[in-house]
Amino acid sequence: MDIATHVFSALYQFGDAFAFLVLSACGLAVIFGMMGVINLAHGEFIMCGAYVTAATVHAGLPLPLGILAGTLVSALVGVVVELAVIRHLYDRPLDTIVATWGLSLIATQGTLIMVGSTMAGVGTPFGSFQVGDYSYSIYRIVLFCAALGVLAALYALFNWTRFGVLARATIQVPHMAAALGVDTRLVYSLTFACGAGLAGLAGGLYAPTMTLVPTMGATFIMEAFVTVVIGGADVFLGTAPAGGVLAVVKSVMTSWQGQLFGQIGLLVAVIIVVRVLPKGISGFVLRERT
Amino acid sequence: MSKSVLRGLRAAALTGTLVLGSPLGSHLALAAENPIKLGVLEDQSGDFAAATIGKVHAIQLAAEEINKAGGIMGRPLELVAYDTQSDNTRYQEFMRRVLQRDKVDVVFAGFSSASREAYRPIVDQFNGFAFYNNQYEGGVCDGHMIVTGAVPEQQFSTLIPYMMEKYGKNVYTLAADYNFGQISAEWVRKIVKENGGKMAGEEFIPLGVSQFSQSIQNIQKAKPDFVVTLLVGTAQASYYEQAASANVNLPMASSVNVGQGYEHKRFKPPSLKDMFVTTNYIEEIDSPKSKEFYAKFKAKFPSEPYVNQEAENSYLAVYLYKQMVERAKSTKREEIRKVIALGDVCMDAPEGKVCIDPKSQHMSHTIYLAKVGADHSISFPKVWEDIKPYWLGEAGCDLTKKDPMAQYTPSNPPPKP
Amino acid sequence: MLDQPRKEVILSTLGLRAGYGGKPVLQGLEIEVREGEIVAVIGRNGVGKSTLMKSLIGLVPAMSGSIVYRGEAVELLPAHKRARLGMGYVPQGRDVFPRLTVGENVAVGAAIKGGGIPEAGRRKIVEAFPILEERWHQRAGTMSGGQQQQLAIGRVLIADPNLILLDEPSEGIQPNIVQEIARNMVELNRRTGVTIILVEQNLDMIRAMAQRCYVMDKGRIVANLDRAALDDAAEMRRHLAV
Repeated sequence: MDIATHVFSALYQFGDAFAFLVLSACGLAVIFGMMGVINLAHGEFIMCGAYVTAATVHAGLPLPLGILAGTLVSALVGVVVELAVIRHLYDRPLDTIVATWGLSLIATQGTLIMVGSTMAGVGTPFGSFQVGDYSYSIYRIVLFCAALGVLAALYALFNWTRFGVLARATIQVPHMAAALGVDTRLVYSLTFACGAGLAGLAGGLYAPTMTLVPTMGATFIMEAFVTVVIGGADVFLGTAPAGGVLAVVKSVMTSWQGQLFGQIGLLVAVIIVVRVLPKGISGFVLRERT
Repeated sequence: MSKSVLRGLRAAALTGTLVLGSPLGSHLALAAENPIKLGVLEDQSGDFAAATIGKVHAIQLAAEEINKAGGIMGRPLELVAYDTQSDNTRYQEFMRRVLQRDKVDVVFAGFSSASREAYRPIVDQFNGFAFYNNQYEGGVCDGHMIVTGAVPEQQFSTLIPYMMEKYGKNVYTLAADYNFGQISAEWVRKIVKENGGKMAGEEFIPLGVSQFSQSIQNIQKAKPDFVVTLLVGTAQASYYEQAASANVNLPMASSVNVGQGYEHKRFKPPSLKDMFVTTNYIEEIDSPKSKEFYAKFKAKFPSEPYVNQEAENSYLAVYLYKQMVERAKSTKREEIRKVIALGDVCMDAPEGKVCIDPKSQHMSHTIYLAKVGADHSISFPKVWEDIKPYWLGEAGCDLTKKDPMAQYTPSNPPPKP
Repeated sequence: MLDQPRKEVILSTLGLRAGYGGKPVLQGLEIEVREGEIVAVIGRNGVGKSTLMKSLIGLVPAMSGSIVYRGEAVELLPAHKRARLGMGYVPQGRDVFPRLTVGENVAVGAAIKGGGIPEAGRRKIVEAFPILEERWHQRAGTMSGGQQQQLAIGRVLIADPNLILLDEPSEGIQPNIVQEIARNMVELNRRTGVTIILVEQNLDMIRAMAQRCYVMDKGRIVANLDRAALDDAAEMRRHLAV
C-alpha cells in the first residue's frame, strides 16, 4: 500500500473524529460559553433534531430540508425551554444543572412513551468511494465539511453581525450591556435557541448514520463535554482547537489499539488539560492575550 | 416511572401490610385464591428497551392465557413488574425488593449479561428462583437459575462452521466490550480454531459508542472473509449503517442481531445485507406454531414493532414454569428441581420442541439460520433441530449433584472433580 | 442662571428607596434636575452615590418611591428600556467590554438606534476623543484607564442621550486626561444642551463642570449647593471629608 493511501486514511479518520467532536460540542459550547449554563439536556436536543429530521424525511422531504427542519424545531424547543425554565435560574448555576438533567430524563422517557422505543432510519446518502484498499463513505466527508461550515458560520455570526456583537457584550459585562440598551433577556433567549439549534443540526446531520432511539443523545454527550471542558468557554479559541487536538488523540489511539483506547485517550487528554490549563485552551489563550 | 412500576409499588405496599398484619394461622385459609407471584424485572426504558419491552408483553400474554384457563393449580398468576431502565444497579435494587418485600415465587429477569451477573448473587443470597430468558454467552452453572435463551454452543457451533465453509476461514470479530462480548468472542475464537480457520482480527467496542469509521477501516485492513458482529445496544447498532455507507460489503455473522434488536426492520436496506444470524425464534419463522403465537401476540399488542427471540423465550418460560409447578405440586425451588432432574421437562414452543437439560438447567432449542437479503427480507437457508446446550454438562457442571453458583467459560471451565 | 427662563424638569425622584437585599441604601431620596444642567452629587464614601446612579438607570431596583424622566414614571422599567428613552450611563470603573474592540464597544452603544455606527456620530466622538480613532480596532481591555474612560463616554454619546449619568469619571486617571474629559463634557453640554448628573470626589473636576451640587449623606440629599458654594473651599472640604 503506498504512502498516499495511508496519508489519506489518516486524514479521513482525523476529519471524521473532528466532525463528530465539533458538531457534538458546538451547541453545548455556545450555551456554556455565552451564558455559563451547563445544559445537561444537550443530548436530548440532538435527539430532537435527529427525530424531526427522520420524521420529515419519512414524510417525503429531501434530507437537507429535513436537517433544516430538525435544526429549527430544536431551536424553537430551545426558546420554550429558556422561557419556561432556564430564564428563572440564571443566577443559580447549580440549579440549572439539575433542571436540565431533569429535562433530559423527561425528554428521553417522553419520547419513549410517545414515539416508541425506536424509529426507522433514513439511510445514508451518496454511497462510497475507494482509495487504495479502503472504501470510504462520502457522507462522512460531508459531515467534515459541515463541521467546518458550522464553525465558519458561528464565527461570522458572532463577529460580523450586530447580534453577535451584542451577544458578546452581554456575556462580558451583562449589566453594562443592559444599561446601554441591550435587551439581555432577548439575547440570552436567542443564544440558547442558537445552541439548541446547533444541537439539533448535529442530530439531523448524524440521523442518517445512526440508530434512532430516545437515548441516542447520550452517545454524543461524552465527546461534547470532553471537547467543551478542554476547549473552555470560547467556541472559536476553544472548541475548534480542542476538536482538532482530540480528533488527533482519538483517531491515532483508535487505529492503534481500538475504540476502547480511543475513549481512554480522550479521557486522559481531559485530565492532563484540566491539570495544566484549568480554564481550557481558550482560557489559556485569553490569559496570554491580556 | 411507568404504570406497571406504580402498580408494583402499590402491590409491594399491600404485601408489606399483609405480611406484617397476618398471623401465620391465616396463611392456609388464603391459600386457595392466593396468587402465584411472578416478578418481572426487564428494561422498559433505556438503551436496551427496544429489544426487551416485547419480553414483558410476552409474559403478560402468557399470564393472561394461563389465568383464563384456570391459573396454575387453580391459583392465579400475578405479575409484579418493575422497569429496570437498562441499569444494572436498578436490577440489584428491584431484585432485593421482589424477593424480600413482594416475596414473589419466581423472578423473570434480565437482558444484558452485565445485569444478570449484577442480580444473580442476590438471587443466590436470598435463596430465590430466577429465569433468565435471554440468549447469552453461556456458562452459568447455578441451581437458582433457569436459562431459556440460547448459548454459544447452540448459536456459534452451528453458525461459524457454516460461514467458514461458505465464505472462507479468515474471521474478524467486532464485539461489545463487556462480559457477553468478551466471552462470546472467546467462543468464536475457539470454534474458528477447531475448524482450521484463522482470526484476522478482533476489536472490542465500549458500550454506548456510536461512531465506527476507524473500526471499519481496521476491518478493511485485516481483509477477513466475514465479520462476526457481537454488538449490543442501540448505539453500537449504528455500525451497520456506517459500514454499508462505506461499502465494506462483507458477509456478517451474529448471535444477537435480528433475533434481538430486529435491525433488519429498523434500518434502511441494504445496510444489513448478507447478515447471517442463528436464532431460536423470530417472527418470520413460517411454521403453524409460530404463526399462531405471532397472531396471538399481535392481537394483544397490535403496535408491537417486532416479536423477537427473547419474547418467545419469555413466553415459553411461563408455560414451562406452569408445567413444573403443577408436576411438583409446589412453587418451592427444591421440589421443582426434582422434576427437572427427571430430564423430561419439555414443551412444544412456538419455535418447536424444547427441553430443559437437568445438568445445566439450560434449554435445548431449534436453531434457525436467518439470512438477511438486500431488501432486508429474511430467508432461512438452514434449520438445526434439537440442538442441546451440551458444553456445561460436558465440561463438568452437574446441578443434579452439586451447585457451584458460578459462571464458567471455555478458558475457565468447572474444576474437575 | 436666574435671568434665563427656567427649563423643563428632565429628571426627578420622590421618596426613592432602593438598594440590595433587605436594607435600602437610598432612604427616601429626592432630587430634581432640569434640562441642560450639569449637577454634581457629592458625599463621603458609602453614602449611596453609586447606588443612586444605578437606581436611576435601572440596575438597582427601586423598592418604593418614583423616578420621573421627561414626564414618564420609569422606576419599574428595566435598564435597557430606560437607555432607549435617552438615558446614558457611564459607570464607576468604566465597565468597557474588555474583549470587544473599541469600535465594537461603540457599536453596542449605537445599537439602540437600530443600526450600525452613524458616520456623523462617529466623527463627533473621535473629534472629542481622538484616542478612540487611533485605537479603533484594538481590544478595549488592553487600553489604559483614561482611554477606557473616554471610550465609556464615547460609547454613550454615540446614541445622542438627553441625560448622561457620569459616575466618578476621574477615578484612577491622570490629571491631564481628567481635565480633557471635563472640558469635553462642558463643551458638549453647551453645544447640545445634554443634561449631566455627575458623581465625583475630585474637587477640580466638580468645579470645572458642575453648575450646582447635591450633598448626600446616609441615603438622603442633605444639601443643595449653588455655584458660589462650589468655589468655597472650606465648605466643600467639609462635605467631602471622609
